[in-house]
Parts: sequence; C-alpha cells; structure tokens
Amino acid sequence: MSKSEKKIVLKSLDNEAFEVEKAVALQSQTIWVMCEDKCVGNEIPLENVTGQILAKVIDYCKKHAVVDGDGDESSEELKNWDTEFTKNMDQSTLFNMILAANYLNIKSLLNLTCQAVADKTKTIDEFHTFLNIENNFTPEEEAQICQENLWAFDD
Amino acid sequence: MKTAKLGTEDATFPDRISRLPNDLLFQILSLVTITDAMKTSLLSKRWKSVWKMMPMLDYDKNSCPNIGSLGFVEFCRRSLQLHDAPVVKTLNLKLGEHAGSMGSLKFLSFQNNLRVFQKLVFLKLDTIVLEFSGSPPRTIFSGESPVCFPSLRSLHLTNVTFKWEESFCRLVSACSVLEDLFLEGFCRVAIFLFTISVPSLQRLSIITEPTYCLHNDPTFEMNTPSLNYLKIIHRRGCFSFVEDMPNLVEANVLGHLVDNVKLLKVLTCVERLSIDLYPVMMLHLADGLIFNRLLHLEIDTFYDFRSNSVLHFLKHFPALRALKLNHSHRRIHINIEYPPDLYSEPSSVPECLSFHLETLQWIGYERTLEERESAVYIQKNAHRLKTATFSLRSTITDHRMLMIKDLRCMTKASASCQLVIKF
Repeated sequence: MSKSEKKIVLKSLDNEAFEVEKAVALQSQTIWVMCEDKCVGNEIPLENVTGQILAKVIDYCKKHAVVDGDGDESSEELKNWDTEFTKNMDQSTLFNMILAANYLNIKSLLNLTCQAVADKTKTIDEFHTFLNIENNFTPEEEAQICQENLWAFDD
Repeated sequence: MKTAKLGTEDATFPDRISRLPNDLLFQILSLVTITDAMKTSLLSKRWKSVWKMMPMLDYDKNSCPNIGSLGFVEFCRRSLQLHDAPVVKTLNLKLGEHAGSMGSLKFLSFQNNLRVFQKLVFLKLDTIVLEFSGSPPRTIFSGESPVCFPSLRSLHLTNVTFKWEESFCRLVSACSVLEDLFLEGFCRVAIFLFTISVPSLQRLSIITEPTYCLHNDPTFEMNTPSLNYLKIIHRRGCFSFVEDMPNLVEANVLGHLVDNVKLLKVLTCVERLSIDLYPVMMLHLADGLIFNRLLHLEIDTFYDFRSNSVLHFLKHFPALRALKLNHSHRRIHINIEYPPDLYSEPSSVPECLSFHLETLQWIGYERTLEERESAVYIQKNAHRLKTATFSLRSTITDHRMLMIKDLRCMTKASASCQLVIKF
C-alpha cells in the first residue's frame, strides 16, 4: 500500500501512461499543485503533452530528482548531462520541450531549454536558418527598421 | 485549438519559435545579450517589437563589446528610449570591470522622458560612477525636471562610486516608494555624509569590504521609520539613527560600530539579532536595555571575551529561545575595562533560562574555567532546553575526550535535552 502511494501515473495527451516516483513528478509545480488539491487520484492527465515529449521530461526529472541518498551526483556531472540532453534535440522537440516545461512549470528545465535555443541563435542568420523565421518585411519596411537601428548595429 | 497542442507538428509551418507566447520569447531573449535581443527586431514583423516589451533588461558593458563609436552609456540611453513594456520589472546596468574602466552615468542626461524609469520596479547598478547631478550645486536647480523612479521598490548598488554627496542623496530621494536598498562595496571620492531618508524603506543592507574605502570612515544618517530588516557588514563607520524603528524584526550587524551609542537602543525591538560583540557594547547593555522581543541571538565574541559574562547579559533578553555563541573568530582588543560585577554568578536566574531557551549553540568551546562555568550554569538552569550543541576547539585527542566526558556529566534541568558535540 505504502509502496503504491509513492508512485504516481502521468497520462499524456495521446493516452500513454507513465508510472513514476512521486518525488520525480513533484518537480513539476503544476503536478505538485494538482496533488495538493487532491482532486485527482493516483493518475494525472496531462492534456498538453504528448507521450514522446513526456518521456523526455521524465528522463530529465529522474536525473534531477533528489531521492533518498540517490541525489549525490556532482553538479559538474549534472551539468554535462544537461548539455548532452539538449545537444542533439531537433528544433521541433526543443520547442515542444519549452512548452512542456512551461506548462508543467519546471523552472530549471525551462531555463535549460531556453538556453539551448539562445545558444543556437547568436546571429541573425542563425535565427533565420535554425529557427526558420521567414523575413516577411517589405524591402521598404526593412530599410526603415535598419535606419532606425543603425546607431546600434554599426559594428 | 489543434495548433496549441504540443507535439502535433505542422510540417508546412516549421517556424516554431515565432509561435511561442511572448512570455517564453522574453525568457529566451533574456539569455542573450541586449544587443542580440535588439537585433531580433530585424527578423520579421512578429519580432519587430518583442524585445521592446521585455520585462527584464540587462545592460552589461562586458557582454556588449561591439557597441561601436557611441559609447556604452549613450547606447543604453538610446536603447532604453525605444523600450515600451507596460512594466519593467528589472533593469541592470553594469558599466565596467574595475574602477579604471568605469563609465560615468549621468542620470540627468537621461531625464524623465524615459518611460522605462516611470514603470521600473527593480534597479541594479553595478560598477558605475554615479553623477546624479552634473556638478554641484548648480545643476540641481537647473530647471530641468529631475529623474524620478515613482514605481521603484528595490535599488541595488554594487561597486558604485559617488562623485558628489548629492549623487547618493538625490538618487535615493528620487525613489518615493522604495522598500529595499542594498549597498555593496560602494566608494566615494571624499568624506561624505550618506543620508538615507526614506519613510517607505523596509529592508536596508550596507556591505563594505574593508579596503574599498579611499578615505575616512563614512557616516550614515538613517531616517527609516518603517524598516523591518537591517544588515550592516562594515569594518568601521558611524551610523546614526534619527528615528526609532519600531517595526524592526531582524538585524545583522557585523563590524566595529563602537561610536554608535544609539545602535543598541534601536535594536531592542528585534526578534532575530546577529551581532559582533565589542567590550563597549557590554557597558551599554549594562545600562539596562531590555530586548523584550528577542527570540534568536547570535553573538560573535572578541578575543578575551570572558565567557561567564554571558550569564549576566542573558537577563537583558527575557524571551530568548535560541542562543548561538561564536567564539571562533578571534578579534583582538586591548585595554578592555570590564564592569567589575560581571564575573560572579547572577543573583537570580535569568527569565529566558527558566522559561524559554530551547537551543544553545556554542562554537569554539575550549573548556576554560569561565566557559565551563557558563556551560554548567546554563544547562543547570535552562528548563526548556531541547538541544545543546558544542563545537570543540581542540585538536588534541586527549583534551577532546576530557571535554566530551565533562560535557556529558553536566547536570541538565531539562530531561529531554539532547547534547550534540562537534569538532
């Protein structure tokens, strides 16, 4: 009985169920609030996250959970793990992770994923290529904005 | 609503970032430099104004090396002028790495046409020479409307050099609803009187490295009747308090503030106090100050502090629940004159021992005669004591064993008291 109370089931948008330790799941403030409210049973439906993304979020939370005597991983190791975690994510996964971290309210994961985007977009060209942002200014508008900001970007 | 669902990738619209809500874009932009954030306005129509709405702005000269001919201060000024968020929560301005490369920030040149300042909640200035007015006293009344920060709640100044006495006073008085003032490693080019007259101020921290001041000790004059938290970490200096501070709950006063007779009086209403003890303070205490509300007391003692005098000043703290004595930092004083009656056992048991004291923590216990006398007396009379922790100051095993044995044998008035011994 006490064993099952320590576990919690997270159900994704596409009905995939994940059984995880409560301590792992509670890193999400959103889940924490749901558990506090006691309006949900042992199964928590997450209507905004797909199973594919949720699996990755849970990986992250497992790594960062401090479970009895299990949290003595060095911060250096954890940092390296974080870097590897986001390193090879494609753009789509990365943005889904940002939205999931935001929805689930996991601050450190949100920071990590936003940082990964920021790192990949150091120049305007990178913004355009990595993020596929289409320049929808008319040539006149673009010239005007450039003119407005000339003093700042004259390097 | 389909598009809002995560993971339902739409292959015909691969630009995901532009569809993120502004809050998340702000978060991403806060992780790049301000110049890079500004450049995103060139990306597309969606991005044209995003950076202008960011609630947190960080201008750090070190992370923006390519400002060009403008100079960083002018860059900040122009950039801030473009900004248009309904509320700016935080503005950080950092102008240089060390004194030699510091830029001088003339707030008057910013004037109050900046909407950013009107709505700013938290301002942080780092490594800046502050000239709030051009050169005193002419420009103070030059007819230009002065800068003001009508929404500013928190002002943090780190390594700020004040050019004129007015620079500081005017900055502080421009913040009419300020609640939190933090001063660290400040410097000034002459002997100034720092006046902090802010009726709304609730938290005040003044932290100075001993070597940072170029001239004599600064003098602070505080007129802050709403203060509830005070932290002064300062080697020396004169702090005068114009008004009482009846709401003061917590104070942390480390440094040699002997000139200040009123300091202890101001502190009598606190619940938590951490203080460096100096001989002269003990004389002030002996004047009969009573700290009626004090629950937690942490004392850092001086070199030849006579431990049994603790027993005498306990009567000044009738409600005390936790006492921490730190006798590990050995500040040396010479020519200490003790009041003669400090060394005998008190004539009656202090009220806090009989009714309130739950925690005793003693760091640097050596088992001198006087220390032992105090440890015995406290444990013998503290009826509510739950934990007594002694951190021993000895590396000799035999001596340690003797101390441990001795501490274990001491009579305890409280049967449930737990003895903790640390090395």
